[in-house]
Amino acid sequence: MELLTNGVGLSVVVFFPLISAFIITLIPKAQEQLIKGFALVSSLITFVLSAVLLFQFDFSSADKLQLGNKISWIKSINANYEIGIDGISLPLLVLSTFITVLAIIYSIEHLPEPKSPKGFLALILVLETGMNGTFVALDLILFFVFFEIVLLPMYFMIGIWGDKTVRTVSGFKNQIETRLYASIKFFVFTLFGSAFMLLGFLGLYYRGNKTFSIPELIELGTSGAFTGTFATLVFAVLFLGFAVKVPMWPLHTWLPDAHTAAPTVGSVLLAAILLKLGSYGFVRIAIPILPEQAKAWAPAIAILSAIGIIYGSLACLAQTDLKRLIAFSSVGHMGFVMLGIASLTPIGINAAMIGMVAHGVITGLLFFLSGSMAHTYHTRDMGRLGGNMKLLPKTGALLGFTAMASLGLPGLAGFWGEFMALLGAYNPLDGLNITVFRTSMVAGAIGTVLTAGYLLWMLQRVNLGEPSDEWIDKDLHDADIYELSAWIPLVVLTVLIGVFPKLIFGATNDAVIAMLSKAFGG
Amino acid sequence: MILPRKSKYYVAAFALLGTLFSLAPLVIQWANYTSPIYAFENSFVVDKFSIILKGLFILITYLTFLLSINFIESDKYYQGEYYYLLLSSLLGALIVSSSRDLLTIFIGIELASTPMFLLSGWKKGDRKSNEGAIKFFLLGVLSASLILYGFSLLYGLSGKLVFSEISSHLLSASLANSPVVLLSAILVISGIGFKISVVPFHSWAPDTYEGAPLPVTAYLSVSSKATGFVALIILLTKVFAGSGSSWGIILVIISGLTMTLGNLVALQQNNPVRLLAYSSISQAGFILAPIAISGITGDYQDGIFASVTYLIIYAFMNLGAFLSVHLFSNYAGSTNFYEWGGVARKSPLAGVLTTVFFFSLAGIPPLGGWFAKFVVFRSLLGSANSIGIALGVVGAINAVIALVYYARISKVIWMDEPKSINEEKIFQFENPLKVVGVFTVLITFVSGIFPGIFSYLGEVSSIFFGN
Amino acid sequence: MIVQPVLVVAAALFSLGIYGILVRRNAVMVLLSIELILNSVNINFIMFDTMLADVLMQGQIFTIFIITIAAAEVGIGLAIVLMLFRNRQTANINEFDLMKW
Repeated sequence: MELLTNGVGLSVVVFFPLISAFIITLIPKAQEQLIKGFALVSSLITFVLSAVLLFQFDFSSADKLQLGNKISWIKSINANYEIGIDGISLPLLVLSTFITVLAIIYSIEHLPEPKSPKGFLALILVLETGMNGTFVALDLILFFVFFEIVLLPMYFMIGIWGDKTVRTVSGFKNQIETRLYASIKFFVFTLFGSAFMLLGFLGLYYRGNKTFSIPELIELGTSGAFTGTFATLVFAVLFLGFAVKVPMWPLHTWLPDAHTAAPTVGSVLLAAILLKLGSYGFVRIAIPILPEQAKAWAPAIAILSAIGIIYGSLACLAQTDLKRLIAFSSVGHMGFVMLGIASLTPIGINAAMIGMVAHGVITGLLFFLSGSMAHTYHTRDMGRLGGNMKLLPKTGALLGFTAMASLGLPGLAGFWGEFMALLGAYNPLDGLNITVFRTSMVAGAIGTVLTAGYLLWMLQRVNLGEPSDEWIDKDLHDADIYELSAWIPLVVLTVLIGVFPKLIFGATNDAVIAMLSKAFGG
Repeated sequence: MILPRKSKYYVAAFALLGTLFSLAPLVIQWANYTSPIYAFENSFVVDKFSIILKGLFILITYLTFLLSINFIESDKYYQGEYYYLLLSSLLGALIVSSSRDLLTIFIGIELASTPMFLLSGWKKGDRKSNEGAIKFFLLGVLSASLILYGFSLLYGLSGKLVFSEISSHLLSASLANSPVVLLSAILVISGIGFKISVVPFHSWAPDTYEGAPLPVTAYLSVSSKATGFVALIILLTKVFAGSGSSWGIILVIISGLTMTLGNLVALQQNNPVRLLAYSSISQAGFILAPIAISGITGDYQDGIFASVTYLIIYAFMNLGAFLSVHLFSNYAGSTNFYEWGGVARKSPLAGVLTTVFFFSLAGIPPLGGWFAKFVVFRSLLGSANSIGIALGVVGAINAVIALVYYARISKVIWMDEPKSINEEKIFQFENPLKVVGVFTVLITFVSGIFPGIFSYLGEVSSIFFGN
Repeated sequence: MIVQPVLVVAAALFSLGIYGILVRRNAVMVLLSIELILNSVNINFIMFDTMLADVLMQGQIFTIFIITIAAAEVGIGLAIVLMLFRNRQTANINEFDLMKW
């Protein structure tokens, strides 16, 4: 039991997937079943272990960092291997291990072209290490390394297994395959943000007694060590690094491309976990360490979020491509998350936390469904789809359910994040410009209406109506057992979180309140 | 050379063994190290800085030999001389890292670079090789004469050749910022600038790299460059330490230009060797940056720490990158990497190695390159100086630009459709090359995941400034 | 002792050498220009040696080393030029333009 609490357990959750990925690369290519089985088992072990940690976690002191450890890593620059989880990171960590299991279950029978399960599954596992690591890292350098580790696997996942349609991109002479364009765009955008983020980390390091430890920097930051133009600049670069990842308008343009081009599992992981790395960075690093700057920047973040919400919804209405529509809906939903964070109130940040988890579950499921449909119909053009309920009843029903969850139907997971974020924006932290936030709130409220609008419109075009003639003689197969076993848990989770939001709040609330009271007093 | 042609194989084996054995005294010196040992009237020194760099030079040469074995045997090259010349160059590099007077360091630099003029023209019938060699030779000799003119001015001012005596004389006579010393510093910097190929002294590098045999190119871009940097570090911190604020500014400008120009030109290359040439120009800008800033702030120890750490990590990943270029261009029979579509599928091992090396050069964690870039940024921002921070921002932007062309090779070999893959053709990956690949890839990973080891080496070697 | 004129001559030789490198188009002539620079360095060293009345005669020793190394370098240089000439029947460096950028 001690092994679980002194950091070894957490380290295993982080590095076990990496070791498994390495072992997978050693298995001969011909042994496909063995590779798949091994990947599944190792992701399951990771998930079970993270669930065990869930029970080890002391919820009565969820505001404290637990189950962690700190050992020396790079002595000469005083960077340590410091890990630990509190109520804020716990749900995201479990979500990450959980979604990975589902992604691997789905991949067992539905590998994108070119097959080659070895590389694909190994990349998923490496990706998992990066995601889990980011959520447990308590040292800026460790955080940075994990934050970047996710880039390589995702780059290759999009680039090798992605969409091969040829398209014209403005600025390029020749036509280019979607996957190639999207993968490098994703990579460059994110690296651009994080290169500057690293400079910001170094700035904190030098002003903050040469430490990279997040808890120590929080102590320093709340006691007013970082002020003036220096702090403004540091917050600006941290903002850049995290906002690209979230992504916030106007830095979002990589997202629709990456989502559209990525293979199904890639989109799922991207939407469900990778985007959360950015918003998690705000909650874990930017706000607690630089509270005064966060306060100064909050109105700007709120405005950008509001624009993101409206823009995302309007862009959705203009889409003909099913996957692209869901991608833009992500921009809108992450706008709500950021609006909640910008309010800097317990209710707003709790909303952001539940919004992140809910978005991970719901949008993950949406991408699963749309990917599977694209695989069945060989098109994502909503003009050609239609009558899905008649052709693929199971998939259609699930799509209907998930769209309802996504538009924020009360009783399902999506509701809490949106509703509470608006509540938070109505009544932001004292001292913030109320007009700006209330305007943003109104914009957000309009956004919810638009969200409902485009999702229902999407359902009407895809699910309802009569199937077009081109599908009559085609052999269309409905969801199989692998797909259903990947999807049903997400449906259950959506309902559970919708009915008992305390599943998330129970963990996050204390931590959020403690963080905010430390940062802004009382 | 005296062996008959048949037994030329033994030359390689002997060279390999010899290089390996020469590591032994280093290990012993390291183990018994107490304080720097001076010899020959203070003109030769054994300290940790020199031990670490000697170790690096010997390892690089060893790996270059491994790279060369098949390459040299495959063609009608002269074998005995090849190894002899490389070993001479190694000797020069070793002398440089220990030298503490003008004469010794000059002989070291010349001994390190002169054999390389010959080696770069080793492909006698190949016009490109000829051309590369003549450009390299002319600029190399020019740079040597510039350095010499700078040295002669120093000698004229102080009447001394030993560094410690020169610098104490300059200090006592408060000549550190006199125009003559500055002229001498500028001449030395531009002379060594040719060796380390920084803008505007870089123009020979891509041509020579393209023309030279690939192992020689690898050696040039790693060991010769490192020799130049070691000479520069020693000269700037031991002789010109007092006039740091003046040469600091010059180096900052050179460093910023080098990063940017190298990157921008690299973006347009389709020949992988030229791409690596420009990439190594741009990397030289990064290695130079901490030294430049340390001149302005006077915190030489921190600058040396960052540069040496960068140099060590860079050496291995760059060697690895040349190895992968060698493998694929051999297989595809083309020096245009856009024609390498999908070749990684023929040999996933080589594909993975290539990906690792190139992304490490781009500085993506968890590969070693990120830590190299990180220590540079750390030292730049640590200066708390607006010039340092500006250079840091330039570096950050360049790191992103560089990613585009580094990622391009991985993109081509993994993601592009195979155009002309001949199913019959066997992918050649000889055992000595595998050793190089595995060794460099291990170092690349270890330096990324446990950078403590490498930063320790850098830290220890930076102490040399104090003594 | 006349120091200044000698140093001026050395500096002039140095500048002439640089000029020659920039202007001359024949590889051998460029090589000669570099030799001019080396010789200007030699003059400098010897002059400083006598001026400072260096008991160790370090300047002169340095000069001997430079002469030796320069000889070796010229040997290598001429070998390379010869090889080039064999392959292309010219030693004009303007025509060495197989590679650009």
